[in-house]
Amino acid sequence: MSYSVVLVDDEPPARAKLQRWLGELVDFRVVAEAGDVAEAIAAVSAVRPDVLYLDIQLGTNSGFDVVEGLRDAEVSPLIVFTTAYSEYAVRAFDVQALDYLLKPFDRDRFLTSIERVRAALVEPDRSDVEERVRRLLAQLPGRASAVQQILVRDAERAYFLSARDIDRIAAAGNYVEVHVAGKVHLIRESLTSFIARLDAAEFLRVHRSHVVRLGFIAELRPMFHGDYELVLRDGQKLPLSRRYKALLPEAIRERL
Amino acid sequence: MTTDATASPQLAMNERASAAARPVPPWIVYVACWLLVGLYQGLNASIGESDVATWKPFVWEMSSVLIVMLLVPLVFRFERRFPIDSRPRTRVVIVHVAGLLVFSAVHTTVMLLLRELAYAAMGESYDFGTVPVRYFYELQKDVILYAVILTVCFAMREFRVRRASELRASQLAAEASEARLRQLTAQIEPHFLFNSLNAISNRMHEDVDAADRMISQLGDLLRAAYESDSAVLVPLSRELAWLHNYLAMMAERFRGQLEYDIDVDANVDAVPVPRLLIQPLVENALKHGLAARGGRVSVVVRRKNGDLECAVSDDGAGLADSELGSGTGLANVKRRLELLFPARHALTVAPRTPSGVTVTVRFPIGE
Repeated sequence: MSYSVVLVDDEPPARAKLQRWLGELVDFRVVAEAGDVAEAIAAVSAVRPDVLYLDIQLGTNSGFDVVEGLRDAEVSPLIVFTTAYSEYAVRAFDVQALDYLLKPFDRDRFLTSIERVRAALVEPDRSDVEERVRRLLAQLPGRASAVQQILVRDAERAYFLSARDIDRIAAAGNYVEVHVAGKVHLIRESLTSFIARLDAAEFLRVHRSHVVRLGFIAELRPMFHGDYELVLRDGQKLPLSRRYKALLPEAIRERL
Repeated sequence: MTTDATASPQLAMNERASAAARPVPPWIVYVACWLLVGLYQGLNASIGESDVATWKPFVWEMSSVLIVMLLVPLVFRFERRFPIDSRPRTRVVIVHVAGLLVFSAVHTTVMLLLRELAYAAMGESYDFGTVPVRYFYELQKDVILYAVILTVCFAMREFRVRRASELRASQLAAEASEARLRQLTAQIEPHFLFNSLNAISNRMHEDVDAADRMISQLGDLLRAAYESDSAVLVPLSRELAWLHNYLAMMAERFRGQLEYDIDVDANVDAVPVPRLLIQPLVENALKHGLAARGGRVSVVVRRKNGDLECAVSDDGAGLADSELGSGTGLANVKRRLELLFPARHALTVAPRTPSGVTVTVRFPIGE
């Protein structure tokens, strides 16, 4: 059993270097390489790899365009970002505690990233990493900003939901339940792609299946082993694991 | 009633403010100056000659001054056609001697007519003596006057030329430092540096000698960027050395996607060229070549008559690319050429078949 890897970089030597070191590992195999955004999205969508090594500067485009493209295609490999130099991105990576390789990196640093990748890959729920990537994208300049209105279609009609009025969103199979003032709207879409449109600072992912508007949280109750329970304004209770607790805004975390 | 009283001072103030803001037209200043000169001369003459009626010296001086006032702009225009410089040619001297004769003839004739009119108006008659003697007498004075006018013309032009050349020099200096700044940001742009290092760190595992070469190339590029020489013109060989290193590094980083060749005439190494003039052209070509996923960049430098011609070609997307004609890189090159070789340079952008663009710059070879 080995993990499949796709390498994305516009400079062939940079890919060759990763290819060489990955080739020495028995539990990883490189299944595709790509040199630009379109190639990368096509390759990852086709082979659905476990891991993606993604360069941030792809000619005049950005590796983050690949991330957005993949989210729309509903593919979510574990991403290790590589970058030669990008002030914004590096700051955002640090804040979101995502792994990235600064070029030039040596074998030891590469192997550290591999250790992290291995640890993350055995974790059944990686939705918190997804959430970190969502926050990262929201912080970068030049990315699409959050929408105010969300178009919802059902069998009879299409109508708008105001993003401000949404209290919480829950995943339910192939649907998301959007709770608006006590009413539930069922929308056929994945939670990840639905919340991509919302303001990352206002709508917090608190669980693999739950996203809550910050103002809709009424109470945080400590449970066992550092886990918490969230009590919402409508009385509903949601579990908050340690990993998601780390994703809460600092102002709230400090008071726990 | 009360409102009127408060409103009017304010109104008056506004009027004064707007009158002060509007500058006096220069021709009014000009006429006023000459009238003052006339009055001053008239006053002087009337004090000197106490035995004639007071108005007469004013008529003499004013009649002269008013004509000179009208003639001076014509002399200025004439001098612009036949300029006096520090070493005037014989032809110009002859022209101005003729100009002086005409000037004096017109000056004297109209002046005498004016005096006759003024005297007639006062019920007297003006006696201007023997005509040739009178014209010769006035000519003597006009030689000095005409010479003074020409000197003023010369001085004003010299002043303008000097101001313009000082302005150009400061623009050139600003350009040069700007170009240096661009070089610093372009060459040791962190992105370029770190990606080059990463490419070297990969090459080491494949071919130690090649990696070694890359390190020395990168070293040369960094050294060039750190150089504190602010010369505007540098020998072509220096620009080409930089170009070799830069293209070699880019070809390593984009191996399999980028080829290049540099073709230079044998006898042009020492020709002084504007520092960093070719660099933005090559960067443009690379950008377009690489955007098309691979291609060839060619640099050709030729001596043509007294000019140096440098052509940079790519086989990228070509002119369809809208940013090409208007890119800041090209705009900078154009501006620098205009400053360094006004009206003696050329910059052309031409499409190539089947695809790509050739950008050619041409400028004179200085000594």
